[in-house]
Amino acid sequence: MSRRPTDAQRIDRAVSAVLAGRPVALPPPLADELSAARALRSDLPLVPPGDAFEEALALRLSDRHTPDAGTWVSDFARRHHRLVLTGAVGSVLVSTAGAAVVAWRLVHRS
Amino acid sequence: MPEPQPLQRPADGPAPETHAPGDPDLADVRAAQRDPHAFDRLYRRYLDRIYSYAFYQLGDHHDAEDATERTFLAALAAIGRFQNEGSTFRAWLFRIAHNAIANSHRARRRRRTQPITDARQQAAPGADPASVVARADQQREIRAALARIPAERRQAILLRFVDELSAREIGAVLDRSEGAARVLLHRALRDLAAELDRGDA
Repeated sequence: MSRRPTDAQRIDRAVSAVLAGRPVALPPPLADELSAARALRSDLPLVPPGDAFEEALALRLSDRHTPDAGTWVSDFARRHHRLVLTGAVGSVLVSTAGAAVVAWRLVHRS
Repeated sequence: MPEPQPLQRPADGPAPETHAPGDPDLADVRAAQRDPHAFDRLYRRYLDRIYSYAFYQLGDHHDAEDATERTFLAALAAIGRFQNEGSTFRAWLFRIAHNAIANSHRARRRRRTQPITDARQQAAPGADPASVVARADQQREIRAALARIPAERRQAILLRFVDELSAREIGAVLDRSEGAARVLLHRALRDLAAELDRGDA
């Protein structure tokens, strides 16, 4: 047994029809609401923003997801942690070796 | 300054053939979660609707731009956390806008400024001046009547008629059940009809 739709459900269906441009009618107790819905459909336009605002915001959004140098380094490190670790260890070894050579030459010059 | 345009839906609306069940934007949302550059499609699709929702509530282009900007920046920052659980992307987006607009209202109360309640009318080239004036009057009457009904009922009308959200999505934006959103919309239309009737009288 199906239940009779409530007034709110009938109005909602009628509004869907109005928005889709389909013909629809409701009996007098709800006819005023339907009339208001038709007025809204025709006299409540979309208000687009200006082109300059649209493009400026698009640019800001684009900037937001272009990673800066710090983010890029951390992203790269996360994705390539073995490579980064190897590089870091290699860098430390080279620096240590360089310091040892400089120290040896200073000692042997004197 | 932007001008109100005749009621039109964006030509690049959600593409039916890429629908995930229940959410026409889901394919684009998933793309934006993988690559944030894809967010641009969602931005272009919803910009006019979010802006209109903000403008009709705030009545001021500058405040509407501010709320729109905060909405999309917040949405981009949070898009990775969006999950399609019982609500659509657009309901989620309008919920963010709803909060941004509420913040603008609070900021405005602190500034104690008056909103501009009149949107300017742009005539189509070659339009009959008398019909342009009549249409502008009708639009002004509708906006004045909307301004006189309670805020939550006005929000329901804007979400349904300007942004074309379903009762379920309106419920998600306003934190109500689908049935409660339908009742809210019914009462909003009843109030609006009474206000328009009063205006005619």
